[in-house]
Amino acid sequence: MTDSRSDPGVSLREALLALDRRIWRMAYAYSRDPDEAADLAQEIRLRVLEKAPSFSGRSSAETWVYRVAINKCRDFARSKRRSLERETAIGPEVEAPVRDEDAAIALREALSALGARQRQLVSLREFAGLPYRDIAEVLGVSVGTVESGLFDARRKLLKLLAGREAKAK
Amino acid sequence: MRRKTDREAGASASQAPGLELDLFFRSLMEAADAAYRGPGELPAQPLATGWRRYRFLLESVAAAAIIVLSGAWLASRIAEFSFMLGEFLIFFAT
Repeated sequence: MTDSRSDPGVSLREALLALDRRIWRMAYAYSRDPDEAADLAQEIRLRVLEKAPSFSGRSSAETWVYRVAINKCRDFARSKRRSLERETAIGPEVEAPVRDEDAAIALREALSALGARQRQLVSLREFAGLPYRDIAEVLGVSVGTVESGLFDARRKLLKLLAGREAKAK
Repeated sequence: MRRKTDREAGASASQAPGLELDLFFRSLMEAADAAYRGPGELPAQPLATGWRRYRFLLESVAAAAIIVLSGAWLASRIAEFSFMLGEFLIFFAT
């Protein structure tokens, strides 16, 4: 990642615009439909701008933006899970169940079954396209932790998707 | 021990019979890209949040408090000085 320390505010803004599509993909993977993804992506953009005064320039602007984005996604998933639990406690789901045959939907559902850290790792790797070193920097862990975490996450995803395919047949 | 490269780790992780994880990722990414609407309009200035949102109000209250307290202190000093001056004058007059 590039290290732009000249003007933190400007570099953050530039980074935010440059990474927008990747952030969108992450938001899309965390949400259930495009409208929800649009809301989440916009929340991430606003959060980055809100927190901009606290950006010291110690890490690169890109790392900082990804950190804000992935934390926001984690919070979103947490609140989503809580509201879903509340809905199921109150009564049956109002929404119709999503179609099973769509691979994207299947993966999205499998992703929601991962743990918070594993989901962050997969999102940063697969949807933001970050190399392991950058993921480690964003999450503040070692490269080895990223490697093993991703390995476990992928294995779990394969298991979930295979179980789903077996059930469909 | 030699550390695995990204590609090696990715390849070993997605090796499972009959299922290609990369295909699932690609389909989700394609769906995301198809629904992408762009960043839209971003606010020009960094947004004020938390206590910063009330900064102007806090500063106004602090300034008003300083003015009132220093005014009260000055008034008490003047009153005290006038009282002493009055007593001094009465003492010399009588």
